[in-house]
Parts: sequence; C-alpha cells; structure tokens
Amino acid sequence: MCALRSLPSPQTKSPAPAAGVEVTGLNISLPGPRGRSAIVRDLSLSCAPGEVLAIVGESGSGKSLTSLAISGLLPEGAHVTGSVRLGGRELTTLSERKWRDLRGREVAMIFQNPRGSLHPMLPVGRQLIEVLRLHRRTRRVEARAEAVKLLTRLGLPDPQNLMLRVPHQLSGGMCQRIALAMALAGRPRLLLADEPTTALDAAVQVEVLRLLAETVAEERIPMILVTHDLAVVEAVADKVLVLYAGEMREYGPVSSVLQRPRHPYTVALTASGPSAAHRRGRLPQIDGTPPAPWDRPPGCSFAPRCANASPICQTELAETGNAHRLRCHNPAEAAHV
Amino acid sequence: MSEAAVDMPPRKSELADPVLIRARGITRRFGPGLPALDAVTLDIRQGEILGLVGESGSGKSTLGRILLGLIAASEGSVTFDDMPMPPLRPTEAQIVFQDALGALNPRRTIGQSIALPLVNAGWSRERRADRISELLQSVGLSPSDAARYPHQFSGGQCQRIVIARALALGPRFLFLDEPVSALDVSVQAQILNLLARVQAEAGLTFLFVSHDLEVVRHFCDRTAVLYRGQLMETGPADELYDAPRHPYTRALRASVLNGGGLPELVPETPGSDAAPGGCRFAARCPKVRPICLIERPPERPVGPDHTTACHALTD
Ligand SMILES: Nc1ncnc2c1ncn2[C@@H]1O[C@H](COP(=O)(O)OP(=O)(O)OP(=O)(O)O)[C@@H](O)[C@H]1O
Ligand SMILES: Nc1ncnc2c1ncn2[C@@H]1O[C@H](COP(=O)(O)OP(=O)(O)OP(=O)(O)O)[C@@H](O)[C@H]1O
Ligand SMILES: [Mg+2]
Ligand SMILES: [Mg+2]
Repeated sequence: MCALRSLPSPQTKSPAPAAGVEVTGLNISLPGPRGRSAIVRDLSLSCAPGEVLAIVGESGSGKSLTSLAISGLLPEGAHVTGSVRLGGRELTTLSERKWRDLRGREVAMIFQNPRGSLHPMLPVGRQLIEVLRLHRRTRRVEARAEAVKLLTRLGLPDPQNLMLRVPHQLSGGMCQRIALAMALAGRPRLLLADEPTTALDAAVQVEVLRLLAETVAEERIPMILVTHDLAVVEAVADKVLVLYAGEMREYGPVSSVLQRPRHPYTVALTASGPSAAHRRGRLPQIDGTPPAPWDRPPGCSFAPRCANASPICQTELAETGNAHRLRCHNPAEAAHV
Repeated sequence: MSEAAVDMPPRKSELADPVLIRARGITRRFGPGLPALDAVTLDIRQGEILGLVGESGSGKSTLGRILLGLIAASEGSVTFDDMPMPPLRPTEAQIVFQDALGALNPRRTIGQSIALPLVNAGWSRERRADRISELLQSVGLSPSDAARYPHQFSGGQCQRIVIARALALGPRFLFLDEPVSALDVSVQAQILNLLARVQAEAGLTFLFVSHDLEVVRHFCDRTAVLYRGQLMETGPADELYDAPRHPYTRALRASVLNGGGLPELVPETPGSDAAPGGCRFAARCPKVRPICLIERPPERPVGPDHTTACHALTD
C-alpha cells in the first residue's frame, strides 16, 4: 500500500454535505476574428457527489472554457446561456462578489497552467500557508506544519526548502502540485481540475490521481477532470464526456463509452495511442484538424474527417441514447474493443 | 495533412555509432541544497533518438539547456562533434517546448515567426519566402497559412509551426522538451509521425523528453532515466520498458496506467533524503542497503548497451 493517508483534518467545523453539478444547454460564445462565434454549443452534463466526470477532446474543443464556465472564470467578452447548477443554486447568474466568496472555498479550480494561479514574486510556501490560514483559521505554525504534510503527501522532495522558492525557480510539475495543495486546502465542495497531471511523471501522476480520487470519495464531492489521457480517464473517472468542436459527441459511463465506443471520433481516439502492436511504426492518426469555431459546417462538424460520413451527416445532427448518449448517424458497431 | 511516409524501418542505435554530444560529469547548482544535476555523464549518438524520462524537477530541462549551451554547467564538460562547446549556433541545435502557443509571438504572423531565424542568418527575402513555404508544407500546413496568427491555430498546429521554425536553418540536433505532453492522443500521433519522418529524412539527432513511457518506447532508440539529478539507468528503449532493471525505473514502469484502476505503488520508505554522497533514490527504494545512503553507486553494465547505477544490482 502506498504511504498516503487522508487529508489533514481541518480545524473548522465540517462543511455542509456536497451537492452535485448539473449543466443544461450550456452555450458559450466569444468574440473572434469573424465577430462573435459560438464555441461551446448545447452542452449538458451532470456530476453527482463522490463522482468523477472526465471531459476529453481535441485541443481547442472547449474543455477549458467549459470548466471555466462552471467556475465562473470565463474570459471577458464571453456570453453564456443555459444553466449551471450546484445543488439548488444557479451559478450562471451569480454576481462577481458572490463568486469571489464561493470560489476557493466551495468551488476550487486547478488550472492547466499552474504558474498562472501562483503569485510570481512570493515564495510558494507563504502562498500556501496564507490559504491554509484563511480557510482553516489556524495559527501560522500549525498552518506551516500542515503545508509540509500536504506537500510531502504530494511527493515533493524537501518541502521545507521548496517552500522558500518563488514559482520560476520550480519546475512546471512542482508548481502544479503546489497549486493542487492550495486548491485542496480550502476543502472545496466542487473540484474542477484542468489537465492536473499532464506535467507529471508516471509515478507522481498515480500519487496525485490517488489523492484526488480519495478526496472525492472521502469528502463526497463531485469532480470534473479535464484530460487528454484516456488511461487517466479509465483509472479514475466514472463518466466521460467526449467533446468535438465544442459539442458533445458521446457521453456516458466510462465502462460503456471507452470499452464500447460508438462515435467514429471516440473510436479513433481509443485507437491512437502507441501500443506494443505498432512499435516504431506509423501511429494511427486522424488526418486533418477540427474546424475553427467560425467556420463549422452544418450538420456534424466531424463529418469532413469521418470515414463513416454519409450525406445526412452534412445537414443534421442526430442524438440517441439515454445513459450512454451519442450524436451520430452512422455509429460504429457496438463491438468490444 | 496525412503523413506520406509509411512505417519507418526499425532503427538501431549502436554502441559503435559516432557520438554527437558527449556530456561528462555535468553538475548544476541553483543555490544551496542538493544540485539540480549531479555528475551526469551521457552520450548522444549521431542520428539517434534518445528519450529522457524522470519525475518533474529531476533536471530534464536543465540538462537539455546545458547541452544546448543556453545555461552553463557548474562542473563538467560538454562536447558537440568532439569540439568543446561554446553556445551552440542555431544552425546546429534547436529547442522545441511543450507550450507551443507560448513559444510563438502572438503579434507576429507565423510566417514572420518562422522567418526570424532566417533573417538573423542573413537570408534574402526571396530565399526566405521559398524556405517558409517549403517548411510549412513539410509539417503538413499550407504555404498560405504563413499570413495567419498563432491564436488562429489549434495546439497541435502550433506545435507543427514551432517544429517548422526549429527546422528552418537545418539543424542537426533538436532538444524536444515534452513536445507532445499537452496534446491529445490523436494530435500526439500526428506530431510523432511528423517528427519521425523529418528525423529519418534528414538524419537528425533528437533528445526527447516525455513523461509517457509508452510514447518513449514507441518513439526512441534509447532511454535515459533521471532521478533528482542523478542518472539511474540508460539502455535500449524497449528493454527499459519491457525489462527495467533499476528499482526506480521499475517503479515508473509499474505506474503506467493500463486500463485498470490505479496501480499500487512501491511503499515510500520513511526516512530522510539520502545524504549528499549517496543515491538519491535510497529514501524511496524497496531494495535500499546501508551503503546506498553513504556511497553513490557507480554506473555498471547490466546488458549490451545497458547500464544502471544501483548497489542492489551488483550481485
Ligand atoms: N479568451 C479567449 N478569446 C477568444 N477565444 C478563445 C479564448 N479562450 C479560448 N478561445 C477559443 O475557444 C476554443 C476552445 O478553447 P479551450 O481553451 O476551451 O480549448 P481546450 O479544449 O481546453 O483545448 P486544449 O486541450 O488545447 O487546452 C478555442 O478555439 C480557442 O481558440
Ligand atoms: N532558474 C532556476 N532557479 C532555481 N532553481 C531552478 C531554476 N531552474 C530550475 N531549477 C531547479 O532545478 C531542478 C530541475 O528543474 P528542471 O526544470 O530541469 O526539471 P524538469 O525535470 O525539467 O521538470 P519538469 O518535468 O517538471 O519540466 C528543480 O528542482 C528546479 O526547482
Ligand atoms: Mg484547455
Ligand atoms: Mg522540464
């Protein structure tokens, strides 16, 4: 068994039981080179307490924007319609003041670029201790001891010395784990993690994923995990949403979507990784690139790259399924891969 | 945008191949405490792809920057083509980072970005234009893309542009610092296919950093494993994956996610980090011996072209 224990227990009274997140009909548009264009379209998802929902999809498919919308951090100029609910509360209409109160304490976000969430000039130890003191109302010495514990648990060497450094003196993977420690310090009720293990090696990745999975299970909170690594999805997620050009293509339990992918895009994704079978050979790839948000074709936006496409794909989009949802006219056979 | 090349014939990196970069006893300190790199000795052979793996903060980027002459080593020496190394010229070596978008100036068209090394090298306007078209085509983009700006491209396309720029002056060596880590699997496959093709066409030498052991096995000839600044194991890429010898490489291999849940890991042996003289992995090593804490194990051969630094593997 690995040397992980549960999070250091907080000094404050235990927070309210967590609620699930429910996103319905989410649309996000942003100003672009040809005026405003819809980036994320008609997106619905849900994530219950204690559940991990993974969002996968090609670069630019809108994964980060979706998680930013849920945490109220969309860039200026973004328009949002549809609904994001956490428990009974509608989040899309929350004022910035209410958001400031919620964020960090109830909704924590771990960003794709970890340096961006750290102050560049302050020693990282001081930043972490501040957050711990704020959320746990402990004295500085206790907060310091907790910070050391948290960083040790995240597999960081020599935490005492590390805490004295400023972000540019740390590697990307180290900054990532400090940002993670800061996010967990507030004992959030909803966790959003955007590529949290991309910069980490295999062994540390396992530790960090285990910490996240344990936090979700012990605190009974929902977690939305953005990743491009299907092995990570299989290891920790319960459900998975496959995005393509800002739209859901396939959505459902991991065991169903990744074991029996139906959408040609999901099928291609599951076949793209290197495996012993084609060592040093050419890797299977999906030729071409997704359309820019401002020139998305009508119908299915994957059709131009899809081997199964038929004329109807160029005009309309079909949705089928309930627990395992699918938007495709010509899905792959439900064969086991 | 299809990669024209078919399967590459399996390459083999031989002990007898000429060495392009020879690093001897490279140590780099960034202040008090243990050095970021601790007496690293490594050869990069001409025409090979050498994979470099290790946890974050283990010194991979630092090593690459030293080999390119971008920062100086505190101790040790580097030669390039048997010549002692002043900072390498852009015609000889280039670097490609993980964050492709961040590596491109947002206010320059990509044509201007790619032209920059050519301008600095004194190329005429016409030769530049031809070269830019040629480069864009070789990375699967169209010459007309030269007029567009970085934010109009996807992450994978930006990485293609950065690769095109790195290739502009026909370098012999590329330091690829996690070029595919930020890309999803399908785009990753496109970029790896592209890199394999340009490497084979021009006989380039790569140092390739990645966290993904499967990608390294697929793409590289040999693999070197760093742990907190010390080299643990070096050997043929498939051997390091299929039959790793060093306890750290074995732990890394055991951590590869393989479709199940999270793998159990080697227990973290409690205790402090090793003394400066010992093996850095000793504190986490399941095979630790008293000697590991005080004496650094020398690198020893454990097979053809395969060495590891471990006291526990001597008998
Ligand atoms: N601030 C912004 N202004 C304008 N367009 C933006 C902005 N942020 C993102 N976009 C565009 O929105 C689309 C979706 O971006 P997003 O960052 O959500 O993608 P992603 O799926 O997270 O990609 P990656 O895997 O590369 O992180 C992209 O086309 C991107 O160019
Ligand atoms: N400019 C600097 N000042 C102080 N310390 C530094 C500096 N650059 C790197 N370091 C330290 O050197 C060590 C190695 O860093 P390096 O960036 O080489 O690691 P890495 O293996 O590339 O990690 P990653 O996988 O996260 O990119 C780290 O402990 C880091 O904190
Ligand atoms: Mg993103
Ligand atoms: Mg690095």
